[in-house]
Amino acid sequence: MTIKKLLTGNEACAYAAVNAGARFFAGYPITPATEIVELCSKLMPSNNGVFIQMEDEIASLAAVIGASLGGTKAFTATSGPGFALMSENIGLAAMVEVPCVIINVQRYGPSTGIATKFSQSDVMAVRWGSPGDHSLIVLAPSSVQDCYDLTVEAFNLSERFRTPVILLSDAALAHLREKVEIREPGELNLYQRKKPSGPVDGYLPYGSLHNDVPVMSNFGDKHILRVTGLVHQASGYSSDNPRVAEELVQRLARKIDNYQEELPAPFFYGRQSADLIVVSFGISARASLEAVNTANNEGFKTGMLELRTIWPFPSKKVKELCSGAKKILVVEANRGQVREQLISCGIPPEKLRGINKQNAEVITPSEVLSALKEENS
Amino acid sequence: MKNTWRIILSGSGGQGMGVAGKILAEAAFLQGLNTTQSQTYGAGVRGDLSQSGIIISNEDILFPLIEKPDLLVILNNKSYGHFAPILNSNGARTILIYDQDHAPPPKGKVNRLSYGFTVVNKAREIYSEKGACMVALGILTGLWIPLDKTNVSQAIQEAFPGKTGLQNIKCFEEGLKLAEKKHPLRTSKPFVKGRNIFIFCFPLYL
Repeated sequence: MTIKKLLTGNEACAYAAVNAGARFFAGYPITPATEIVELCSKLMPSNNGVFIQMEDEIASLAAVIGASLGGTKAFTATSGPGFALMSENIGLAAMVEVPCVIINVQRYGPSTGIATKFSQSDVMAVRWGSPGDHSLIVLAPSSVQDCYDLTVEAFNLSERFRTPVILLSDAALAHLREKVEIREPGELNLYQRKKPSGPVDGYLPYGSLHNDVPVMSNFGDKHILRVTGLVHQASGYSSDNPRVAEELVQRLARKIDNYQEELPAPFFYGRQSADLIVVSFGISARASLEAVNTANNEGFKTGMLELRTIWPFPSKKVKELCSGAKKILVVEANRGQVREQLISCGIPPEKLRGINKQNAEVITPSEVLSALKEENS
Repeated sequence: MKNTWRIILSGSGGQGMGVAGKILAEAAFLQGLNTTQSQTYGAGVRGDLSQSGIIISNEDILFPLIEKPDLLVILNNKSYGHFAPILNSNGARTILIYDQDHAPPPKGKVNRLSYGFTVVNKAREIYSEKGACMVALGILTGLWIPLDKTNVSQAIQEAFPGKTGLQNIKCFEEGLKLAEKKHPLRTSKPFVKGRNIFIFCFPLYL
């Protein structure tokens, strides 16, 4: 059944997690993610789940990894300073290949920054915060409905790819109240974790691969599971063999990067043959959309690309959609972290212009519109 | 034809800005309209400046926050400083609704559609200052926003289950009465524009 409700972004994330089957939450409250923690303290026990308020964010993600290895869909929520602490265990989750979801409600930074104010400056931090070479998935919602839908998607992708998935929300979305269509568990396509079926003796946790993703047992199953953050062989025992190391690290990237078509694709609004394309994500995409809509009503030829998957960066799609444009305007509340990615995917820097607001306030449609008109004139 | 209302409620933390915004959005939601609501989030909500922004529309709301409000409700003096750029700009057609006892507009600063009401004192008389925003909601519903008053009452009841709910509904109804008193005034000159908007938008929703 689909229910319509008026919810905040944070509330939508918590309800989505429960409906996606999450039954374990461990976290440490932090503005502006606190409401997720607060709501989970009610939703988890009432749905036969577990809620633990941990001593810090390092322990929070450690507990989530443990719960997931035990076979439960588990998640946590935090903001910049807490996310920094989680970096170590994100690496562990990626290396051990544990499905888990981390909701990062971005606030103004660096460091403790302004706790209550908005920013979109964690784009690089979520991808590269943890050391070592690995891929991971980062999704960016732009509405409260998106907070719901993409949280569900985050759980599905984390189970499908056995990887941490990060939902990159922000302080503005977190406290914005909007109408949400809540599809209940029966209506949702939920990905079920694959489990080993062969003989118990000689079972290799990292030995049988399905699309480069290992088919692993859970702790407590008949098939014995061994995990370590060290480089490991198919058996799960550690190894310092160069070939084992190379194959493992390359597979960790390959298992996600080669299957990008399964990740939420960017949305394109407006005119396909536009001279000017606005690229944005999160709440800034909403301002961009209104600006593009107004500009097109006034006779301009503009289009807008909203990124929903930020990492792995959808280079192929972005390049394809932006190829015909003379100018590309990248709207983001940071110094140009997404713009850098557009350069990396081969778009000439002279075509790019950024709207990069850094005063802890949300980018407005009139700011985007005036930049659009300036570029068009 | 006007089919989107952008409303900002501004006052002191504790006057119920946040919850009033939520109630207005819930009432619009109950009426099947599109709505978004946001509010200031920070230490200000504990006694300093506090605001709530609500958009109500029968169209899709692309950008959910408010750049320029159509209706601005001001319940404390401090708010004038914050909204000076909007109130002083000639282009903005913001209707100002203010508390005439506690937040009269600074002299010579506001020369637009502005209407004073006894908001905070009326709330104190019936219940407490906490009901100030409910009085304001009554005024807004009575004069401008095309919401059914039963939907607003229901949203208030849901926000305050129990005895406080009844007191808040009383404040809301008192606001409706204040709006009613201003009705004859709408034919006189300063309210002509207000009335025009009133007539324009109502057939659209009801």
